[in-house]
Amino acid sequence: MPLPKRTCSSLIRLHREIPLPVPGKILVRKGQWVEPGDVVAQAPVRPRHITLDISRSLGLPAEEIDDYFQFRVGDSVTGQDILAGPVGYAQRVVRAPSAGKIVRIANGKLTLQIAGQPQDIKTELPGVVVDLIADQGIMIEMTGALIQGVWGNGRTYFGKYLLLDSREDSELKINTTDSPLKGMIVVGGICDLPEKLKLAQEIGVGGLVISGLAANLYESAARAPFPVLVLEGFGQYPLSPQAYQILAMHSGKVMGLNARPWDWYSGKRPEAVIPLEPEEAPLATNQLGVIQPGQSVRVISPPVFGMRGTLVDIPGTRKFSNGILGLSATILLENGSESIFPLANLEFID
Amino acid sequence: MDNIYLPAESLLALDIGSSMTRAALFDVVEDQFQYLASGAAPTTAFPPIREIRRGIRWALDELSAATGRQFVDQDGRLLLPASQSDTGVNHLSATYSMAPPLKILAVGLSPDCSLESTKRLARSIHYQQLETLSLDDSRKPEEQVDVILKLRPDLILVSGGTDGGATRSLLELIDILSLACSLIPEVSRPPILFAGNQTLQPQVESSLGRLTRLVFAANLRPQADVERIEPAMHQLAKLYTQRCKQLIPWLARLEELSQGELTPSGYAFGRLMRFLSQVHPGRNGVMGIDLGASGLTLAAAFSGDLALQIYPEFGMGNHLSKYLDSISLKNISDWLYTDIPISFTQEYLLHKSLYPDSLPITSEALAVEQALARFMMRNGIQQSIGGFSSKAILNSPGLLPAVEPIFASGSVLAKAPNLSDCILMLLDGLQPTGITTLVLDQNLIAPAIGAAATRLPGQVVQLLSSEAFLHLGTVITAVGNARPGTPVMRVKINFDDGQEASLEVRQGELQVWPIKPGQSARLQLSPLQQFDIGMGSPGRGGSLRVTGSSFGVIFDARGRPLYRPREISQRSDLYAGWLNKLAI
Repeated sequence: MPLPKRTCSSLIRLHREIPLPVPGKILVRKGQWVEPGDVVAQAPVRPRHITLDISRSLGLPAEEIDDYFQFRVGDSVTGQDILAGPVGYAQRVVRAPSAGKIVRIANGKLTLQIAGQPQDIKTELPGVVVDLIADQGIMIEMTGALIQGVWGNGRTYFGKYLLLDSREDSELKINTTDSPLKGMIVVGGICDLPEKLKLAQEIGVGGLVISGLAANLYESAARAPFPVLVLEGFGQYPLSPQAYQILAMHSGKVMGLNARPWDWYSGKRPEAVIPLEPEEAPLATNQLGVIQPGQSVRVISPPVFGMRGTLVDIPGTRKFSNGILGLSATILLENGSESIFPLANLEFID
Repeated sequence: MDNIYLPAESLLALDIGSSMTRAALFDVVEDQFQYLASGAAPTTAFPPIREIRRGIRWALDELSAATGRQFVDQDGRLLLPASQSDTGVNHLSATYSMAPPLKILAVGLSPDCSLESTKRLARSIHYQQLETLSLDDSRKPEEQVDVILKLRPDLILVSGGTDGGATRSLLELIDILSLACSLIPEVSRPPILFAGNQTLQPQVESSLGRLTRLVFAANLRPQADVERIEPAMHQLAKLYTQRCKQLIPWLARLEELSQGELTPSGYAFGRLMRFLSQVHPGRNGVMGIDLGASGLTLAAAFSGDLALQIYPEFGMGNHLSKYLDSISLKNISDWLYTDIPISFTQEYLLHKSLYPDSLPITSEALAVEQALARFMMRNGIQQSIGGFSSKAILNSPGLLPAVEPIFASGSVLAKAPNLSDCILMLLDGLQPTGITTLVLDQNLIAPAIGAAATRLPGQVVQLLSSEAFLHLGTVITAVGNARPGTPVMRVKINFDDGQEASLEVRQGELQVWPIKPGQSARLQLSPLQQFDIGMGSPGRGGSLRVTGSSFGVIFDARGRPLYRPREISQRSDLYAGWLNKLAI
């Protein structure tokens, strides 16, 4: 049975795709090293279209106008080119309002496609280009620490990060005097007050990585102008010891923060990547983890949401205290107790 | 139908849901076509596995373990047709609901008429985003083209104009579609379903047919006051499957194996309701509700006229967080019957949207999920009533019309810890009127047998009256105005074994009279206070024959719409009282 899998690794080799929004031009080659901010591709901005009523402008019926067109469908024109005419004593003409390509002439009307300026696609992670995906994007391989989360507000950022959390008190500590945090990714514990999100915005942080987010701040976090990544869940959940250890070890280094929402269909989760010097590291896989005793798991449902443990065995289908039936698993929890949970209420920790 | 001759042929029904893949086996046992067993496993269409075969195989392995029958050969190929009694099956039907929801462009002439019908048609499949285009659109044609290019729809649905009616306005919209399609790379052009003025087909063909796949269906609005969605629904289901086969590996092979009977689960569920309404034509319609992780499906059929609406936003799964963003949480917590902090409810629902397969193993979590189920069903009913057939008899505006029976499917209902929880969720969420029976699809096989209904109609009829479906009870609802505690109905019960009983139902009450399976009785119903109990008009009584079921007869005089006190303590007391009545 496949379970959701979350990676929290101090050193791993990763493949990350940089997709183009629309087919475009790849500017890098396979094997090339790229740094954050490097332009790796160009994609045309979606063109817009304008339709000109040539028939009306020239004062001629649509069926009589064909001979007056100066261009044909597929032709490119520059601004002020005469599209149709001249007509009559006044030598009336219709000029192109801007450069573009004629995509249609019908019923006395002409539709012009106006291309936008190409958009530079930059990488937000350092690494080596390992694959070029036709005109759709590139694949980068990098080495670093990877911490995946459960929720993100859809924004991304790359910059230095600072861990503000201390193990004794797991609340996100951020205050008005924290101006050095401007442009930095702030990593903290639990964000449970709207003022903290507001302060983060006032300071101008580059991003926010938190262990727990109070559920009533969901909407504010979703609309925050900077990326927000929630690592553990909605509520009072401190950083896991594994995540804390990694984040504390590298605090002050740069982080690639991709707070995309978790997409079930593609399997992509929100994540924070800390690039490290390339060295031998296992390649992150998306392979199915085989359920077996000894595996690290996290409980993803009440009453002990977020608690970690080790899989002991799978005793089969069981009726839980409220009468719900489910395939169960015995877990040795981090607090030393042994409990039985539905298998569906667990996720693997890699 | 019991004596119908049925060849000894077996059916394997696969249903690939967004969360679970189910394999159910049906066969003829003692001259009856029966449901034998199911196997279930998580759906593996998504990462890390990304292919459906593994989930199917696991579900078949479980089914094999339960039945001792072998379904695949050593190479993992399905054994079709059966070679021996314990090897393979004769028929395969397949349904699916795990496909990513599509982006749809709905095009119609007037927003209130044809566009509304197009949107209703779109509701018969899973969609994620809906953009519309109509004559009332204030954007310039070229801006509309840009919108289409930006949306890049997976499907375009077009309707408008009555048959033989005006054509010019619709042709202008077709012209916009034609230009937009010509600007989309050929491989990415969306198929178009045209269900508008039929006299325009040649012009539409010449404008769009050369650009993309164009399918014609009967006009959704052949006349201004006539709406016929269903013929186009069938075409749309086929187009949808076509699209999903491109997105999901091995779905095409599954269609071959099932001899073309690969059907979207929602459409198959609707087909079952329509089939039922044709097999049992009567004064009332038939309704089905399927509340799953991927959405809420509501299907109501009246003498063969099917209204099918799928609401992904009302599912119990990962669409939840987006939907929660648009409503007040109080709307859900108002359906709670125990005092649970709003913060818990909010946290639980957000986590549920992240982990839709998780099970509620605490009483609080279960209460929140059941409150959510009530809220989702209520919303679904309120939004879909307007699309029901004109043959539906509306007892009161805004209330569910007379339907009988009501089929209920979906894990939250079928896997509820006890039947009292299940029936109260249904009564609260659906708030039926008149007289109906509630039937639970306890094995979650309704979509699968809906897919098989065309090929094996006799077998499906037998199944529907078998123990595969659980007859929860007959519900008699009393609707009217009276103070709480006022008697609103008197009932005399004559059991077939000669026993008699009588009871009085008061406003605000839920009463239950057990009639066990195998028993039957005749009820003499006498409404008071001009209450409507579904016998044709307010104040009218009559007699009714009922057969035994899990609960027997349930008399619901709790009000329509259902009265719910604001105070949680009062709601809690009421709920305890109702549970007590159902504890039989």
